[in-house]
Amino acid sequence: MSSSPEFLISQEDELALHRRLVHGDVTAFADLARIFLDSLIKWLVDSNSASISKDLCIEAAEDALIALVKNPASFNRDAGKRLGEYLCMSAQGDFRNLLRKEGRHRKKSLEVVELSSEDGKYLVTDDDPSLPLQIQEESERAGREIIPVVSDGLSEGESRVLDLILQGERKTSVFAQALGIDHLPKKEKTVEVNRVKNKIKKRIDRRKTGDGHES
Amino acid sequence: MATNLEHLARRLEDDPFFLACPLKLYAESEGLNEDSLAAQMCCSKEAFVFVCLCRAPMGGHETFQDDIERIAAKFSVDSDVLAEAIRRGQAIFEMRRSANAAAILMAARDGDKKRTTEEKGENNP
Repeated sequence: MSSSPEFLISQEDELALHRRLVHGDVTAFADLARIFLDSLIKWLVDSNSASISKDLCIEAAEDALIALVKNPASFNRDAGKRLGEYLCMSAQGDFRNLLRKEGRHRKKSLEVVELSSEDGKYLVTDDDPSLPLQIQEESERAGREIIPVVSDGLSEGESRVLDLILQGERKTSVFAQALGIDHLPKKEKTVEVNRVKNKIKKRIDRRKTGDGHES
Repeated sequence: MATNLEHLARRLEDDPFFLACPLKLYAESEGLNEDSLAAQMCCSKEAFVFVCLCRAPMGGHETFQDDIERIAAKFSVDSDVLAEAIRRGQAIFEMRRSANAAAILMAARDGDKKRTTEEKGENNP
């Protein structure tokens, strides 16, 4: 079997994998990446000038896979084209767009080994615009509902801790400062910070599961 | 050196479409690194990378649980820990986004207010 992305798995398996992507199977992208990512990167590296950074090939291969999982219908299984072949063309398109974007597009150094007659057809990098927007709106709506409930009844210090959690803060000393307990011995400080953090985390967890009970 | 799959998983940490995002936020909230979160989920680091590459469950309670079970069974991870991590991570993401949106809105309103005050000042010398 060739290591070229076009023939990594049988056409039947490709169609089954694509079907899983279309149906929103949560594990399908992990399989897609496991099967195609390495060879797609290698194909791009081999197909283009050695002077081009490998990082760009990696980014383009990743772009092609991400674009497919977000818009599986972009691959038309009825057209007879193999999924691997489609990914190569898509990645090559993404690769060129990246070159152009970075102002490093030099026609002469782009020596594509296999120029398809349909070259340029897959020069689409943008994901389906409606899907991320939909997720974003849903996410923002959920966030608006969660924040007031989680923060309801928290003391001023606890509210500051919530803000710090949302900012990704991890240092106990920062949390202690926010709670105004910086003067306490280290052990007591840690216990109190953990108590408040756990209280807030429990509230967050409860709101997410829809269980409104408060301890 | 990170594998290509690990590189991809890291890239997806800011994209809520994938599990890498809520899992990273959960790990942050617990002060865990990738290795310790993988250990908590009772899986290898390799399996953890594949879990990060999964699409994030987005549906209602029943679909969410089905998706968790599917991921847990496929990559042999603890489904309870996985569910808790995803729920918390998604909640933190939603709250952060909402807080950011509110901050932007406040800044925009401040800008409007400032402009209005300036305009008034110009009209009333």
